Amino acid sequence: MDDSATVQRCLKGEPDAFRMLLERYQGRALGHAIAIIRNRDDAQDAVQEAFLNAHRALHTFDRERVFYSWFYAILRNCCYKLLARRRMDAVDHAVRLDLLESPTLPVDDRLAIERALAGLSPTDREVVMLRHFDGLSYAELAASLGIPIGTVMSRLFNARKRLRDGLSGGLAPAQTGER
Amino acid sequence: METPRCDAIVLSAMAWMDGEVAPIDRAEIDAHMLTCRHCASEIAALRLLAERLAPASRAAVTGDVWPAIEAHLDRPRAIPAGLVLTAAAVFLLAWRALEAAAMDPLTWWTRPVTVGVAALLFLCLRVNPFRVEPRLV
Repeated sequence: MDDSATVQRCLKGEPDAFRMLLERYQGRALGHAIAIIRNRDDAQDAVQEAFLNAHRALHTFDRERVFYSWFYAILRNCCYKLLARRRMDAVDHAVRLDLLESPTLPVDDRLAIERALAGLSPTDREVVMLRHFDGLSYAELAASLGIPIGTVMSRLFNARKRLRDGLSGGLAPAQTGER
Repeated sequence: METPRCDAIVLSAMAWMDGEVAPIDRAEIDAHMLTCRHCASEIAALRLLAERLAPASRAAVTGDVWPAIEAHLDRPRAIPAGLVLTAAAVFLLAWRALEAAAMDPLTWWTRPVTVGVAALLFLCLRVNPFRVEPRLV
């Protein structure tokens, strides 16, 4: 059953339908939230809050749209609100996130990439991960992040530059709080 | 040498590299790259980065948030405290106004005004005087 039909069932009051949506997307949402927040427990809280908000706002969902991109806007809003509330300015580079996997990449290389990603600000990390690991196009990035394509380009360029700096030695200083 | 056009050229070259449509024509970018070392090295570095990241993918994350969500879905949504306070203030105000209307004409206006000012303060400050501050307990 596709997302549109599942949403329709939710709106009719079928309790299992929302659970179906949640089970379809919770892993992906958790991965995205961890990438932004860098803390699994907090990410779990953000995902819960996002699904609850989505449930309340389900009647506003345009069924012509892709469900997850609509939900992602709610999720990132919850993530940044939680970040602001908890003031997680200090990035702990020692925390291993295990954001990535690769059967071919040597473990040291993967860890180096993870460390460099961890050193980025949440917004930089988000745009880099959405582009490189989710394969979003510029138009999809613009829709997901709620910014114009020109801003996507400059944000992506700057984020990549900082990631490059992080990979080539000293980690770039994290800049939290910007969006 | 870096020129004022370099920033726009690099962004467009990056877009082409990513398989996107760029605002600047490919031929212009190629011509610029031949003469500008700065832009050429920027794009080469971006290409290297993309190659380095290519073998990695996002790790699958598992977790079940349904139990926590289900508990909230069953519960009716709590009425915001501000709404309750506002309703209480309006009710008190109306009550006092009704009471005052039956009083001595010289003093009838004093009590509603007092209650009104208190209600306004209540609304503006949004402070619940009955709230126990947990940090102080």
